[in-house]
Amino acid sequence: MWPDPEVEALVTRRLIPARVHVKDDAAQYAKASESFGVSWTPTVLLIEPQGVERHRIEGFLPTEEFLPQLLLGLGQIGFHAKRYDEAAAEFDAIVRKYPRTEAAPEAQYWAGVARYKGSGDAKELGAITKAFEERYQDTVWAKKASVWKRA
Amino acid sequence: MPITWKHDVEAALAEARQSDKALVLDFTAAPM
Repeated sequence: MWPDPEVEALVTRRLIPARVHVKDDAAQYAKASESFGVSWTPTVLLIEPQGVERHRIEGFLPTEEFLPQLLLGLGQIGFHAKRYDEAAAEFDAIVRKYPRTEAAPEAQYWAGVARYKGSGDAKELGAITKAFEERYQDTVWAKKASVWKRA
Repeated sequence: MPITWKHDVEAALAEARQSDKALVLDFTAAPM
């Protein structure tokens, strides 16, 4: 996951990186795992600047899946900060650059939700459902989007 | 560029707040 040039570039450019090792940083690990409710390694949290967790990655992922998961976290941080245009762009980029990953259908869902939240236009919700009719039909995200079929 | 990890979580959270950047916090048991 970590020793990869793309992951390193993303983390170095956009994130403050912190690591606690279960043995080497035992006291820090105990305190932080209690604070954030972490019970397994590896667990990676994306935390907004004000300290609220916005995305959690539990278990190992290969780089091609891990990188878009980090981007999902950044998208969620923008979304919860109500920077909807920025969040939609972040999620769209995941679908465009990593279309075959597990993160892509989740990103497609949240891109549409961000557009809806930014515009207030209910047509954006129908557009999400339509997008899932074209791809990622067999995912839980398509099921979540199916509620807006008539929007 | 290799990642320079911080191991003091409170200090990292403070830096995130001060710099208005998100924090990535890795809980690991992998050999270092």
